[in-house]
Amino acid sequence: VLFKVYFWQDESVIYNIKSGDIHLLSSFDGKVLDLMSSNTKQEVLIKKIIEAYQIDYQDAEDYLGKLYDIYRKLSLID
Amino acid sequence: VLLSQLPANKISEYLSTQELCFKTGSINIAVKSNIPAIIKHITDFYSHYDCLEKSDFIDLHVEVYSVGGYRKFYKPQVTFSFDGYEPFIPLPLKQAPAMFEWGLNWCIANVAHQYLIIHSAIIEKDGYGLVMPGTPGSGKSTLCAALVNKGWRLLSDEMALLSLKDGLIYPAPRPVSLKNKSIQIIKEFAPNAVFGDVIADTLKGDIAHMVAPVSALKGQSVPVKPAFLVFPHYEDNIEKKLIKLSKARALMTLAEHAFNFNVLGEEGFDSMANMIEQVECYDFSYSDLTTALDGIETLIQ
Repeated sequence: VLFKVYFWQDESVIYNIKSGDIHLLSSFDGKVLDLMSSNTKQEVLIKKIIEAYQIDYQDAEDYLGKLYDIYRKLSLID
Repeated sequence: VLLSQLPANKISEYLSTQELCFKTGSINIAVKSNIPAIIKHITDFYSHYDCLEKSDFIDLHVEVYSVGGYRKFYKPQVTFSFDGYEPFIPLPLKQAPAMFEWGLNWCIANVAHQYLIIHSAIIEKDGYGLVMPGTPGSGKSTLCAALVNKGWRLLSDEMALLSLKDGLIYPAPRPVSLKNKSIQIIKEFAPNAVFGDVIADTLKGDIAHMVAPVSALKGQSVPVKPAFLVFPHYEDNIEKKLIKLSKARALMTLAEHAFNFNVLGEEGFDSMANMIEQVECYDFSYSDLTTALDGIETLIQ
């Protein structure tokens, strides 16, 4: 496990166990991070993004790609 | 036995020849010093604290002493040591009481890792713990001093000791340290409060200590459940504003005020998050003390 997460209404706070850094995220992005770390399939994540933001498949895929990049940079996922 | 119940001159004798041991809430302290200003400071500010035996468990052994050599004749200085280690550069001798109090704060922040230590005033009324974290100048000590003079119980004006075990905040009541304009404001607000001499031109400006009320010492073994987390901001000429803060944002800000968050790691994060779960969080901006106190008092009504 690389992080801990606490959710409150529409926000979440992530604690990076290795670095000790904390990050403020939307509750949805925190949930996506949680799902990424449990090896949830990309298709499932994209579906959740489409549902949450009412966007098309391509935009959801781009959004997910950006989240992967950010979370990797922050060492929250491998 | 209280320090004030010791036979005459014993405080001075213990301080200068061995150690004077006393209890400040959850922290036991042993002090050695032969500086008259420190002897006076402890007599004036700690006389109602419980005396301890040397055989009791002591958390902090500290010494405050004059710097030797030729310097003591033309520019006398004081230094502070903790278990033989001197964490600070010496200060002018007249600042000895301020150095003693700052030194104790430093020691607690660096040693008491059974607690998450938040740079915060912490007071209690009717069982509601009010945590007021703030950087110097935010007005937390001013609000704290005023509220304890209105019947709130002082746990500390400087650090909240949040237990990692039970999530309660433990008292460590010591003199309230006021700076600059706040000194006069509180002297006028609470004419019966007891103050020490003003220590001028310190690194933090002019400092004066206010004696911790007896109620703080009576309750010094009683921890409190945090109920409100208020981030005070003093500014000139503004309307009082008490704005509810989201829990996530409050946690982010609280982390900036935790002295030992990095030391405690995951355990510290969990403690902070658990505290955030149970408190209401606010940003509080104010100028005028009286209206500010009304704003705070409405929280528990």
